[in-house]
Amino acid sequence: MGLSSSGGAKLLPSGTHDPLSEAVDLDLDRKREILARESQLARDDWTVLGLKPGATAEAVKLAYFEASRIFHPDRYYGKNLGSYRARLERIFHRLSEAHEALTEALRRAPPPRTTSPSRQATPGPGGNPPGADARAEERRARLARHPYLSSKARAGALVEEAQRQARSAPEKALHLLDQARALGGGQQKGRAPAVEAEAKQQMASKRSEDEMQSGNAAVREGDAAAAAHAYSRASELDPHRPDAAYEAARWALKAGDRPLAEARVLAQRAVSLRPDHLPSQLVLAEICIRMGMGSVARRHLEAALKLDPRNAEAKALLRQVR
Amino acid sequence: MADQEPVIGIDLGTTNSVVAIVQGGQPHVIPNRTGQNLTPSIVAVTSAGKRLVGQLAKRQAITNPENTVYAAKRLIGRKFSSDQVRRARESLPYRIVSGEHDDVRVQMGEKAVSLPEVSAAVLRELKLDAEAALGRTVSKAVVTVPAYFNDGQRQATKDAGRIAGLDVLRILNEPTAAALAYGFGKQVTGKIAVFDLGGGTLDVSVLEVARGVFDVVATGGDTYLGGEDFDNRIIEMLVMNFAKEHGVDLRKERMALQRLKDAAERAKIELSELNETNINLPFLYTPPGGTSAIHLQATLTRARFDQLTQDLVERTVEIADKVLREADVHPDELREIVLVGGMTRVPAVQTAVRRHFQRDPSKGVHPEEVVALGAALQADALMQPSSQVLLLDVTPQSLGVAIAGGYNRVLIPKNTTVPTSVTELFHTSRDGQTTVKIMVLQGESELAHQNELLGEFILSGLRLAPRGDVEIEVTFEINSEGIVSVSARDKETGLEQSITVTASGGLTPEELKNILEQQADSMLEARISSEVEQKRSALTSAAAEVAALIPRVRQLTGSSEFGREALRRAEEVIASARAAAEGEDLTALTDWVDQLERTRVLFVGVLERLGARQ
Repeated sequence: MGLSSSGGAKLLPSGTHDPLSEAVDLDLDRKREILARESQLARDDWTVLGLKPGATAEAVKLAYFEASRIFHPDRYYGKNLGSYRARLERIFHRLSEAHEALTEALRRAPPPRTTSPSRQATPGPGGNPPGADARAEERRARLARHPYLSSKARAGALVEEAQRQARSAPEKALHLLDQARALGGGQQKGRAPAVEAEAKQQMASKRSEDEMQSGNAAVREGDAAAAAHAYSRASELDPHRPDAAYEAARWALKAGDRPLAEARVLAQRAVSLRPDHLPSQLVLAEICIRMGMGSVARRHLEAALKLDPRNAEAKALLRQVR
Repeated sequence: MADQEPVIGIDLGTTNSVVAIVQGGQPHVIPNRTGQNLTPSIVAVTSAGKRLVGQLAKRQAITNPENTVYAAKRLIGRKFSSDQVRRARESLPYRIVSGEHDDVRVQMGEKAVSLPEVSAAVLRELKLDAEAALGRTVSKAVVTVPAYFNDGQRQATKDAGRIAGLDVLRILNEPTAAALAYGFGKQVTGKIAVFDLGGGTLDVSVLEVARGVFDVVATGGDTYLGGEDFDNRIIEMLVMNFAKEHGVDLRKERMALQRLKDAAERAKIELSELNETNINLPFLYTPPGGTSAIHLQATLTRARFDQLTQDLVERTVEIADKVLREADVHPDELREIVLVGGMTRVPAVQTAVRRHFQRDPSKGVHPEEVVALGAALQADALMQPSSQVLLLDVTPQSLGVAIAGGYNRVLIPKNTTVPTSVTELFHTSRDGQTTVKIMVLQGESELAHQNELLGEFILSGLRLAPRGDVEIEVTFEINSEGIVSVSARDKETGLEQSITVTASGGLTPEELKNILEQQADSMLEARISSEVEQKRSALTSAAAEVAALIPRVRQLTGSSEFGREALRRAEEVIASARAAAEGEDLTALTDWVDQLERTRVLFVGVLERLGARQ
């Protein structure tokens, strides 16, 4: 191990020194810009990024990226920066922190959506613009009449049938898709993966429900480890199911037979799926405390107290990390 | 800025390496001096003691397996006693020995060579290729490593650069480099995943891209999963069949093993295009009894190959899945999946990625060259203030400290954007404790000893107090170079201590210094010998010129006393000069070149005067 003591060299100049007159490779405007941003670092996340509260996630990202262009130390690679190096590092660190906090907050409370959640879960490539469906329908009918293309048309019909069955009989739908693939449904490439995804999703959520049931049974029998196992399988099968993630994290924590990091992933998932669910926040916080991640735990406990300022458990845990 | 020194980007791969540069705003690969874009990462020493690198080394690998080092990347920066090195020793035909402090060395001829030196030989070759192509000296580079390399492996790679005479501006993660090259010049906005399966490692990264800023969201992988594992499955099958048929264990035959390795790699590559390939290795094994040699002939279908390697392919997508989960990114959110590394040409890998992420991976990047192009882009971004490209990178592994009970307390979790810092409070764990040892760890395990120990330091002189009463504030900082510094402060007394933590890449500072000095000596020698060579050829041509003048001078002045004397002297000079040309003495050579030149000037003068009179 190479280890050397640098003797704690202090980069910061004494307070009386005027940083604007420091001899570094930066022009005066840039120095002013850096000092101005540095003076804002104690303020709220929006201000730090130069935004007004209520901006969209997209705006947060772009503000972060634009600010990074100015304040990331790599933009001044190989330059003599003096005290400004530490300033830039501080500013950039705070920018990333603000970006992360706001991004996560906006993710928890996303703007209202126009489409239904089940459509949202299918991947993008399958989605056709409105009106395109009718035209495609017509074209497929025309193609079906052409003898050379009839196998492709049949494949198309199979995919359509699969789409109808995807929700009620996902297994059947997957079978139909396999048949369509065997026929070489060339023009169906765009749609088949989306149908397949939906069918798989449906199947997963059915199996997920089964696992939830066996998890509940294990709880009744008082077997924490088995419950944790079943719930986490349920959450793996259907990662969008908030109760599965929450129960899995909670029972993994209780059983204590598996790595905490695993429980943390589950708890994190529970929190992102249902940010206003106080017990999820608490479980995540508790796991973080046990993993020695005090600052993360603190963040989630504060979120929990926002939901219910009088929650005794959250208060008690918060005392542990302070 | 045309006069600025060029900065190159190097992809130092397990099997092949590539060098690239940005010129006129566009990145492009610099072909090596034999015209190839890929240089095999192979270093060999011949029985005559000559060192060979790249294609030349690869060509003789079969006949010289013990002294041909490949896949050095699997060993660099690792400990000799580690599991990975133990496994590597079983499968690699060259000898791996332990250095003085549990570092890894390879036996090349008489010398046990350190891994940074082996990699340095490859880097130097690429540096020379770049210099030949650009017509100027190159001394700065950005070098890529797998994202999952720890600090020790990164440091060792940096050391290799220094030994090769390159100032490594930045060690860059391979998948990040690939994403840079992929996104460069396109108006990509959104999240992209890079799936990089190379000769020895798998790396997966998720990046968020907008307006030229590349923000790494998460990165992960496996440093021991790559093309060679696929090759080994083919070799195992061939060895087993051969043993069944002929009762001979080919694994004990180093030369046969090397031929099998080549054939397996070739078969794998062919199966990316064809459904079936033949493996033909005539005279593979000669039995000791003097009976005729045994040939190996086999047919491998793609289906069989897929079956042999199915679990490896499954593992690659599982790892990719894990990285996405850690990043809290759902596959639906990804805009693109970029495939990088020669191994992503294997159809089963493409199918698995397509099935798993339910979309077609993007094509249009050259999987073997894209990483070097990205390295060149990052080099350019660092050197050119006007560059559009900015990379926001993360720490690939968590940083923590050892706490009571032998646990690891993570302070900076992996995938945190750098530069970053964090401060935590620690308490004494015993009554009257006056010193505290802070052990800085890198890794994901909850148990302290299962992580890499980056360094340790002791804060002493704490005041006497019951346990838990003394509070110590520890600040971790990672700057944008990835260098970790830690400072600890006793809250009450203000007692403070700080260190810069650098993992060792296996070479101690003294060892590195010695290597660099030897390097300087041998470079001086090389320079002298090239000067000797120049003088020698100057001498030979000067002597020939003088000799050519002699007949005419004799014709014009041969009868005079002066003429006879001058001719005799000239012949003497030529003879002595030619004798000196056999030796290595640079001063003597220079003197004789001067004398020849004087004689030539004299003769030319004489010829002009006498010739004009006639």
